[in-house]
Amino acid sequence: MNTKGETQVKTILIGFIVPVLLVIGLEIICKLEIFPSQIVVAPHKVLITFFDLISTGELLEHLRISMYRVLTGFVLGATLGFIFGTVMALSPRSERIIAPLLSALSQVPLFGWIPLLMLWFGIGETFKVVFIAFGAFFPMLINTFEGIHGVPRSYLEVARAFEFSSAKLLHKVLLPAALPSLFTGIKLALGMSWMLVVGAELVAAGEGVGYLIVWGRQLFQMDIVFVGIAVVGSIGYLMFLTLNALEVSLISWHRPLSKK
Amino acid sequence: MLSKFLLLAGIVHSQKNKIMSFLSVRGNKYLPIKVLEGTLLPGTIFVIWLICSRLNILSKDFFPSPGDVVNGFHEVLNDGSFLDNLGMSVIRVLKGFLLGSTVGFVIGITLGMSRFLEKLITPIFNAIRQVPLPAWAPLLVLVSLGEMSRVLFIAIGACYPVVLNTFEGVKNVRNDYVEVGKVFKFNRVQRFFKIILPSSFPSTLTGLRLSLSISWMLVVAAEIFMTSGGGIGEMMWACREYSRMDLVVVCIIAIALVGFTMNFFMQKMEMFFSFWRLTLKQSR
Repeated sequence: MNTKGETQVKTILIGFIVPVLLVIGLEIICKLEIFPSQIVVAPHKVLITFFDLISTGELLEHLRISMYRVLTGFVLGATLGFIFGTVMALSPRSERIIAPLLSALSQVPLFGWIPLLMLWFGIGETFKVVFIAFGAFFPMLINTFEGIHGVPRSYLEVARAFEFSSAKLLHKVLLPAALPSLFTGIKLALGMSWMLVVGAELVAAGEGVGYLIVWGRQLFQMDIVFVGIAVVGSIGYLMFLTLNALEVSLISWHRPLSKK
Repeated sequence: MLSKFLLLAGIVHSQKNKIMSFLSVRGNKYLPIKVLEGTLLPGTIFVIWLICSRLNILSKDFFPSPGDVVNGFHEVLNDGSFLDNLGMSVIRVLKGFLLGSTVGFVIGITLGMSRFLEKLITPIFNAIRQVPLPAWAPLLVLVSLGEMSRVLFIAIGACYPVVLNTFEGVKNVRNDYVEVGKVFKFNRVQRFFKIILPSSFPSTLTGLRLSLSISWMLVVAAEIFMTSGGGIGEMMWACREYSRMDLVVVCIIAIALVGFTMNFFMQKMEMFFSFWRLTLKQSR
């Protein structure tokens, strides 16, 4: 047991070698002033900028705005995706009617919608929310569909034997059985939303973390750009971890084979 | 006009069976009905769109009529700007894809083969992977490498799926094969080319397919975020600035079609190579 713990600590320590070397290397390069400071910035300066932006409250304000956009877009897109996915999985005819149109729409690379949506909705909040909802819609749709479509026929037969109403069938049989797949959909949709909010804020915004990065670029302040990138990455990762934890606690009966 | 239509309908009706058997694929006799159902919704939307634009209910600036879109397509096709820009984007994607997937393949193989390097590099790789792809754009602009920054932007996105899938493929090489290799006293190079590469290749191919579709998504983003290099994304962006909605629609249809074609070919390739995977499964 002890040795196992020791090797784990060792593994973690090995993982820190490259980042630490990178930081030291960057510091040395900056001390020697090989590159102009707009291109390579010393890690300690990035940290100082980070604390500056936090203490002025600027960073948190940008984050709050981005978060709000992501959540509205995600909720809108994921709800629609869930509804469409459920309907398509329950009725083969509706699948045949809706699926071709949706799969044609999903062929368009997401960023390709930006010009169209900007013409329709302007450059305000509506544009961003609709754009994010677009991105959240498709992963949720596909995973809901697959989850509910993949419910074993025997479950449905048992439900029929118990004469479940359709509401009870959805609530007691279909949703629990489809939950692992739904979670995959939620994770993908939220990840996509987070990526798209940054994208949307790069092209049209006056605030938000994406804008913070663009702003840093316009001022030629690499440290702000790096703070933005690091913050965006960590928040995305935190969201992913939270969802993972939620998934484990909700779906305790469904564990991946690898963890058994 | 009406009599011609009736005649046509009569011919179609009398030849119903032949047409049905022509349309049905591999004995799926309900396919025509399914196809009809599938075209129901797009067809309805199209007709509503047509009627609305005829009656001038919708503003032309926001909802161009189908005729406008076709005219716009002719216009940009004739002055050559459409194909030029599309070609630039395709070449840019291929550059980014080749760079990203090659680097990704090398990283994936290395991490899969060496346990030490896996421990050394995986954590920082995972940390970098958390950054949403668009966030790299301003950084690459600041470094200002011109065309190279667009290609690098695509390459970053193209690299991840190849790394992950190749790594997975190498890790899942069956131990039996490695043991057989030991019996034959293969050296490292032989083991790599005769065992690890062939049996991890299908997984790599899945990564390559994902990677190409991400690349195609990112090229549009790259051209919007980092303008002045040409390409279909930049063309869309310019059309938006001139409020040429018809051309924006043309560009959207074009990028969707190119993306679909790329994905289709990659899927065919994956299927072609999956006989490999199939035989592996059967041998179990």
